[in-house]
Amino acid sequence: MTWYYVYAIVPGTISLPNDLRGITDETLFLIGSRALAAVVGECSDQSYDPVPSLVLSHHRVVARICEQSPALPVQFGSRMNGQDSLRTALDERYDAFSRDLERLAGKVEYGITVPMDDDTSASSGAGAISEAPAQSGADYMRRRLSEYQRENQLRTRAERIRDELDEVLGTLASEWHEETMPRPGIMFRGSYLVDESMIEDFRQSVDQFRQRNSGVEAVVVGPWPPYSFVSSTGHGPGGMYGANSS
Amino acid sequence: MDELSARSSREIALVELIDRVIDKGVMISGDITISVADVDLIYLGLRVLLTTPDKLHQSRARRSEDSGGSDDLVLRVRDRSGNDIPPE
Repeated sequence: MTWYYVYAIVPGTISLPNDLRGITDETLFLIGSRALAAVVGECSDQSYDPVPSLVLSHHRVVARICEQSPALPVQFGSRMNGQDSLRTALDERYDAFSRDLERLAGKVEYGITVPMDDDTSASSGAGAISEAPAQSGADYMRRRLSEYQRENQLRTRAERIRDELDEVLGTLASEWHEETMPRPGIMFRGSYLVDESMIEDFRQSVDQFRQRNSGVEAVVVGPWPPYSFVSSTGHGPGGMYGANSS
Repeated sequence: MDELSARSSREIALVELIDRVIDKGVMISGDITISVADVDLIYLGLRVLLTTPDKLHQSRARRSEDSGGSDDLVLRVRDRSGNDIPPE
């Protein structure tokens, strides 16, 4: 049977751009069920390694689709064996997909990431080079307390950044996920679902945040397809990260 | 305080994008293509080679030769006015 690589879930009535090809340069087409369709390309039965070039190619395909249609981005590397299994997958989650398409239509994702600066990473407990072994139990306890206090300080700083951002962004995002200390080297990371009509306001608010917090470096990414806000992965409202929605 | 170098920002942006594309989005197939360990390797082993858009259109997608291999890729970075910042 033919394998299909899946890029996005879309309304069944859309047309794909003529010049849009897949990540192995394959022709793209729709496989539909009722009012929904999946954007697919034929592929082999080999799974794909998530090497950056392929992942970026996948993103470019998804982004082109989102430029002209409501679309649910599908995770990289998703392959289905045969048209029937694809149609079944669409049918099984038909209502959830339809609701997601409505909810996410005309919306984009922005990300705001604040890395640890040199001062904080040098003083953070994680990965700190240990000094000579503790000479005594009291010495050991002192060091533990000191590490604990450093981590607390970091967390407090990260929470302050989150609160500041929430204040300036206000109601500009209809949904958002925010994490403090999500991974080594990163103090804060937020994802925001923004209506296309609010993009300019959103950008200005981020600038406002920068002006008020000149000591904080924020890397802003987007506008992207709303990867983090599809409900079918458990990362949406009420999902793993305690997302908020208005 | 020194500003983040353009390169650091680019690398962070790249990680943020790749993380979303491989870990978020609709999970439609039963196969899990990416293991958690793979994601950690990607964070640790990413090397960014900036190339021109022309080269990317010409080159076909290919697997890296080994886990430490570098990949040609393009990341477009924009300044706050929306103007493209060319690769270093």
